[in-house]
Amino acid sequence: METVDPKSGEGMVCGCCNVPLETIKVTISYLKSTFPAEIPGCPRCGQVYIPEDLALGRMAEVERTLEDK
Amino acid sequence: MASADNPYAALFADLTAPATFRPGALELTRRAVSLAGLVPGMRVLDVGCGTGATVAFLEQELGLQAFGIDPLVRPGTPETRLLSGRGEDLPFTEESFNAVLAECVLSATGKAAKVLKEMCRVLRPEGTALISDLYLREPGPGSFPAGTCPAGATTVDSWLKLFEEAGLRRLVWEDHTRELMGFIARGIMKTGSYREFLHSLFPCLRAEAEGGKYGYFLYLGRKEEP
Repeated sequence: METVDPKSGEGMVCGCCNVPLETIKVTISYLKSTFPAEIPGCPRCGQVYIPEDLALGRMAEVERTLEDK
Repeated sequence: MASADNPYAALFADLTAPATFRPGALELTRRAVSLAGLVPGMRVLDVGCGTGATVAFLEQELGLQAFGIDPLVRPGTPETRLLSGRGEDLPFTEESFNAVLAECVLSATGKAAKVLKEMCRVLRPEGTALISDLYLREPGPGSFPAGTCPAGATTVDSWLKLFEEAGLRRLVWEDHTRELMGFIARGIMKTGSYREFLHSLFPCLRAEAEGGKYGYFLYLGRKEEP
């Protein structure tokens, strides 16, 4: 049985498509600015999973910086 | 500024392939060329061309006869379109280009007025200067090292005055701060933090340097008849 790590998204499965998540390239938009990122997502439906580490780490830093700058 | 003292030397030396390091990247270049009405075959010069990614783009994608100059180009490089030199001393005759580009470059030279004068000298009458750069919205704590774009960024009014004094008539001014923010966000996602991103660009950056609030602009100016 594969280990599931919600913090990284490793081993997680798409709830809609029931396929393993993969690292996919997406474009994130915040405060009218867009930037590319590679995050876990469903290769079939395209829904993404943002792990806690990413949400509280780099993405939070991006939010803070864009709001400040 | 000698290549060894150039804050961008390490950044470009690490590259295995030509790349751009500026907000908007080649898409903003494409827009500038389109707004300027440049057509294939025209002679254009990219001042501060770095590794030549934009020169290759201008030539291969847009069909322009493109040249580039940068202190980071090694003398004797086999790429004849790229020359080693400085914006304030362009090794070209008067009125030899239809357009001259300086993308996120003037602020890094520390000699914007001199570079602009040279750009206008090599521009043909009615030729176009295509300029994008940082502008200062609000000063901040600390200072950036000389030779970096934030160190040379000035206010919108100051930029426009410089362009006018160089003999350029404004055709276009566009705000592209959104592209600057996207550039910063991309850097943070890659490095982990704003500070790490700044250090990846400028290894010589001092710890206290935060800089102010910046914007990014695209300006097109036509060379006025004397």
